[in-house]
Amino acid sequence: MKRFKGLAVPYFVWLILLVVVPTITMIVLTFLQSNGTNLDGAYWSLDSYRRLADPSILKALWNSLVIAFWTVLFCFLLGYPVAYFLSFSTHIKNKQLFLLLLILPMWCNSMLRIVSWLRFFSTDWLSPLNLVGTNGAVIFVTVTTYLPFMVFPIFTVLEKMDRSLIEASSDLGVPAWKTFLKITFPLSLEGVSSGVIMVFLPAATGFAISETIGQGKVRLMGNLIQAVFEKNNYNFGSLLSLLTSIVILLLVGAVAGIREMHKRRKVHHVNA
Amino acid sequence: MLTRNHVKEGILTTLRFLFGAIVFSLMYVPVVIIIYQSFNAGANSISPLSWGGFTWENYAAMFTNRQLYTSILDSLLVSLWATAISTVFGLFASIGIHALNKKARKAMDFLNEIPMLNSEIVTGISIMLVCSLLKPLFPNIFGFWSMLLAHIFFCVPYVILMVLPKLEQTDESLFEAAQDLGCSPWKSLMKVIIPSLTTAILTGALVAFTLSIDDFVISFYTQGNGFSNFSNYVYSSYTKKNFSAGAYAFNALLTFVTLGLVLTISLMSSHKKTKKAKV
Repeated sequence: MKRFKGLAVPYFVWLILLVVVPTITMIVLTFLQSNGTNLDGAYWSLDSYRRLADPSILKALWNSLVIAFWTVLFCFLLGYPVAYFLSFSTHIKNKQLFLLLLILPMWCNSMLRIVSWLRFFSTDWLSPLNLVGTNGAVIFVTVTTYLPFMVFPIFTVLEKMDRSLIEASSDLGVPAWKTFLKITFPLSLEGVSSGVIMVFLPAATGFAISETIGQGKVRLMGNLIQAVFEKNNYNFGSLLSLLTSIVILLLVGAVAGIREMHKRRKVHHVNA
Repeated sequence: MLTRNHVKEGILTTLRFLFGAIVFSLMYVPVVIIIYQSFNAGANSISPLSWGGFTWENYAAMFTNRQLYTSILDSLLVSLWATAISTVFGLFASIGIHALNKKARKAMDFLNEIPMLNSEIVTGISIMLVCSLLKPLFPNIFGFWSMLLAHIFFCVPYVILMVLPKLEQTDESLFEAAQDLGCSPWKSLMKVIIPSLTTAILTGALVAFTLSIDDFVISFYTQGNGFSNFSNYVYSSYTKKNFSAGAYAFNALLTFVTLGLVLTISLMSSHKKTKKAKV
């Protein structure tokens, strides 16, 4: 089927056009002061870069990372056991059904789910807790929104795992918890790292949850970018977007790098 | 000794189920609220979630509330087109990527991951910038076309993610056999390879539709000229406080339809499997 190589070309051109062109446009915009993308009366300026010194920007970036960190941690603490029980359970006959149950909430519109949580937090018996507008509530709603993204990759890896390794370990008299720590968990790290990336990305860069549940009191990178673009300041907005992308790509690259190193060590182990 | 172990095992199992039940219920609270509100006559009342009696009126509001009705139609229009186009595009792109040599393949895999790894907000802004650049050529690009472009952009990588691994598993000799029997390469691709990918293609289409119909951030930046989608209707009407409870009704309905569709597909595929097993 090598003759169909040419079919990759349109998609390649498409990706270049829709990834590279906007990136270059953004880079150019950061060095300008212009009215949106309209270049009439635009002039070169480093104003956008000067504005980066504003402490509120560093704070928003830090807030985003903190909220995303807690979200990932809670998703892991809730999601790993669920994936593990589901994969290793001898009681559950129909695993597909449980997987379906796990996806089902995702077919409800995410914006409407956020609104529902907001209504729920405002009911007579929850409103005394003053949850709306707190970091905790934002993290809570983000966790419930993205939890399946953590469960699925872990479940998939656990399902593919060679169970004879675990049997061998228990045959050799290793206690169950040690088998888990020494065999099951290290072998499932690939799924964990995928889950971490898939939850971290939307949690760190979203603005819908922080805007509605946070009621403007929780300011993340996404809220900042949105506010700047709303004021039609494409120059500073582009700079913030590029900054966000760079930070995210560095972090994702770090996770992927750790995973790669881990894999290589494993291969080395087997060879030795 | 044995009984003590049994008791321990029993307690552990119960704890596991309890934990699972708590996690599942966390995810189902909003689903239950949406369905509850869709039948609640008091869904729009100031005191949140108070029951005002059973009603079908919210379902009628889907058609009578103009803003909501338009946003539903816009959403369906964009998502159906985006699903169809990105499924076909993703399928042929997968076949092309599969044929590449190792080096080009690696580069392509990396490029294909960019739309998935980039944050939604940056993707939305990127497509908006491209459309702004194209605006002098196509003055009406903002609205349906910009949103469609954006949705195809983020859906295709997921279609490829579903189709490519299956393509890698298909037996190349099937393709050669078809040609030996006198099929042209194109015909063998269409008649042999693509039909063998049906399940993966359907899964890809379902994922694309799910992502597209649910999208908020990317559509936020690519909407325009009065063309918006359902998520953006919910967001803007909620902030402007003219939110219609018809939104709950539409979403409950959509969830039921999707559930029915998925159950049918899974029943069909398991039926096929048993039929095959009998042969």
